[in-house]
Amino acid sequence: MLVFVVRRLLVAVPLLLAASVVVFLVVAHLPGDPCAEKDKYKTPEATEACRSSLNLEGSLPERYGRYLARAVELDFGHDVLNPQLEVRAELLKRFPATIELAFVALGLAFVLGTFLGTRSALRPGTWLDALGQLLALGGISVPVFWLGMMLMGLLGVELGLFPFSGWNPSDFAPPGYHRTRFWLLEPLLRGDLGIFLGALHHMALAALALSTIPLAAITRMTRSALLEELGKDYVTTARAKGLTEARVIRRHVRRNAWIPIVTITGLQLGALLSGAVLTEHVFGWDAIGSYMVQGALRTNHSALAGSLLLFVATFIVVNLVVDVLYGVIDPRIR
Amino acid sequence: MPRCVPRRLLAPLLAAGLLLPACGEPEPRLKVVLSYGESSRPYLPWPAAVAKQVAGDLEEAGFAVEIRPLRWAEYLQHCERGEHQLALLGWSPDVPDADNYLRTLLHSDSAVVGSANNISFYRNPEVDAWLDQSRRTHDEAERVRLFTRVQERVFEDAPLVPLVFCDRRIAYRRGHGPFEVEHMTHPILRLAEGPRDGALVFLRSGDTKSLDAGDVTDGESSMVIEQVYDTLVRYKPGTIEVEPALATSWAVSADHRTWTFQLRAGVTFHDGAPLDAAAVVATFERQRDPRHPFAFPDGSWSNWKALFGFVERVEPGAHPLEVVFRCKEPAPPFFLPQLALFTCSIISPKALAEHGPRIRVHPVGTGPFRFVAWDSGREIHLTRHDAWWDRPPALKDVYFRVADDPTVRAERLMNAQGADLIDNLGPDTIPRLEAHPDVVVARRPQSTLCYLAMNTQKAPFDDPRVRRAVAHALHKEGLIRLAYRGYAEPAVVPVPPIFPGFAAHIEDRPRDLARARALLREAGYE
Repeated sequence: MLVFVVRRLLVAVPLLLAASVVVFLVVAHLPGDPCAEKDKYKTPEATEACRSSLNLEGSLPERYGRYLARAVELDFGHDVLNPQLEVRAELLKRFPATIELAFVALGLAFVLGTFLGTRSALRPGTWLDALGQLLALGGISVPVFWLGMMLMGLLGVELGLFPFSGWNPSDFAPPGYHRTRFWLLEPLLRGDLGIFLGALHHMALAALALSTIPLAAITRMTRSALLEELGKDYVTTARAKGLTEARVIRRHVRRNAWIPIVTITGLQLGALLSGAVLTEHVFGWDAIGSYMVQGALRTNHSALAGSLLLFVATFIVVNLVVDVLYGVIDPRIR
Repeated sequence: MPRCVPRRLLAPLLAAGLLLPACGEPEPRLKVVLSYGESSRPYLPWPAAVAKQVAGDLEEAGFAVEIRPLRWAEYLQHCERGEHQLALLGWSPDVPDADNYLRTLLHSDSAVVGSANNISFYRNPEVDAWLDQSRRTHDEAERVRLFTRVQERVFEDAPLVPLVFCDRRIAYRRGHGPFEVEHMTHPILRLAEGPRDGALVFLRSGDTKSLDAGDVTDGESSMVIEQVYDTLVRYKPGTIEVEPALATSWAVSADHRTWTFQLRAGVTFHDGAPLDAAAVVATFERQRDPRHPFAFPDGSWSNWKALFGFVERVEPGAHPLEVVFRCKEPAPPFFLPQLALFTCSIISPKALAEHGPRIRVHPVGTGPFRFVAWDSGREIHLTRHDAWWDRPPALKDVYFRVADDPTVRAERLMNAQGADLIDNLGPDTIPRLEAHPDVVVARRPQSTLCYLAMNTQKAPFDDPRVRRAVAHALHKEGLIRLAYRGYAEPAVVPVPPIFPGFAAHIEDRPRDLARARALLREAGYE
């Protein structure tokens, strides 16, 4: 097991290096000069100073060298818009919100997806099956930014059920309550249910929109895995033993179907990251995804490069964890 | 079947290369490129709509216009380097004086390739001389005469076409405020009467860049700085006149080269340090002198360089509450209003020594609100400074938060979701905000100019006849109706009507396509 993990970690190093080259080149070739917007009255010296502080001077290999040397120390430079802010600190600050968004969305999708998938599999061909399939297909097809805006408009603005855009910890917690930036997890661990629910209420719409991405895959995987298991001989045996149908499903079929469902759920975390970029932007969140969008739109190149690399690293780690978990669930994989 | 179709109907298809030109009208000859930046600005809420409208007008006069949208930073660079032919840009003033527009947009000193604000690259020695002279004289009538001459000449030469003055609005929930749109500053939060001892959430369009008052130029930073800091003089609310603030009185020498200010006694900074001449001297000297210990090396101090180049030194006076500005040349007539600008906010020298460059995220002033916390990207929290020297504000807490989309800002205000005051209203949200029972919309005719710059260093716009043809082709009322939803005023000269020196007698060129075509023919483009 340990050998397996270490080997996977070693593979991750060249992968990260390759990603850093791609990220660097993409950002370096973006149109526009981050120093152009700096001041209302321009002075050539200020532009010069800005260019050197943002590592824009010299040839591409030189710049990449400096960039890499700092990146291995996890130094991604300073924010272009506010030089006093370190990109690393900004990323750390914003990452918990993105993680929480992804996990709430995934949890929502898992509960809803396995439920719908199971219903579909038990009664194939009924209206419930059709509805599950429709939702799953819709989740894959409807772009999350459109769905997000529709949810904001309908559930937020028209019906007034949810706060629809942007939120601040002070909207649901007393000032200074949070010691970490895990807005949801911290009140949960500290047992403050009211604050936890308040935070959830503020994050619900975005999580709902984002959950449609994994929802599709989970529903379909649950359905097909269950259907496959239901057709196997041991099910007939179990029924022949005289077990109730509910017991057959719970104790036998579902257990065997879990493996592909868990795997697909884990793999969806990666897709959630890219979905989070759009969702956070649409819902006016202040997290990694929106920081990345801001980096791209406002020529905040260091923010863009830093958040891209963070996403790559997260993706690699998530895949590693899923692989390991897969090995734990089914030792034959190794 | 009619044999000819009006060309305007076919323009989109023509542009797409799907059709041969319609019969009966000459094929457009003069190919030009119109560039614009894709981000929305206070003076360009919908840049693409303005570009399309301008291009349509020009096409009718016989130009063939290619529209080139660019990302904002790339666009600025493109204009500053003079790579454009036609470009849409705007200007909001830092000083309520015609000089601030005319010098910035038309003097050859601001036409330096690579860092130009005069992106028409207009260089006219006479205009330069008049503008320089207007800085040396303190005779108001003479200055008006000089500005009038500049405006007449510029109107004649048409290096740029002033399009509109945008009328800026803010909206707030009833029970808050009242707030007004100020000419030279952001809404003055200390003037709000309600909610007494309550909180205000100001939802604006972007995060602050820096709170180092001496070294910022953007609006999202200055709107916070104005609440935390005081200046020596400040604008009387609703006007462009200055009144005493941290300075209670001042005297100027006969040659206008020495200004002596008496400071208000008993004022302390939020960190307890006293306001004295040393604080004022440090505030200004760090901007002027690159070797000053508080002149952080990565600062650009561009406002100081652009506006205060005439100051030789700022030094303590005869007693601890006296400050003297010594100038290399007579200070310009708008020196006092310049001192009301946010970059002239007096900073606690104790805080500068303690925080160094971190003053950018930890401002310490003497103003009506003091800084509590800044959660970057999310919120800036200020609270009332109870020991303020003037009447302390009714509001206790102020939160600045960010929502970049104007529709989201308007919806959050109307639904009372974390927004009590919003600015930069989207033109399409204004009618709904105005109709909402719990919302007040405030406005004042604004001074923010949007103009069409023509690169006078490049053919065909090196020929004034072609530039005048452009001016004759534009239909400003149509532009305002379609691209501003009616929320703007047509501009004739690049000086707003509320400023002294505005040349009211100049009448705009009427829209006249025949005249535009004739001018183009005259210039040899046919």
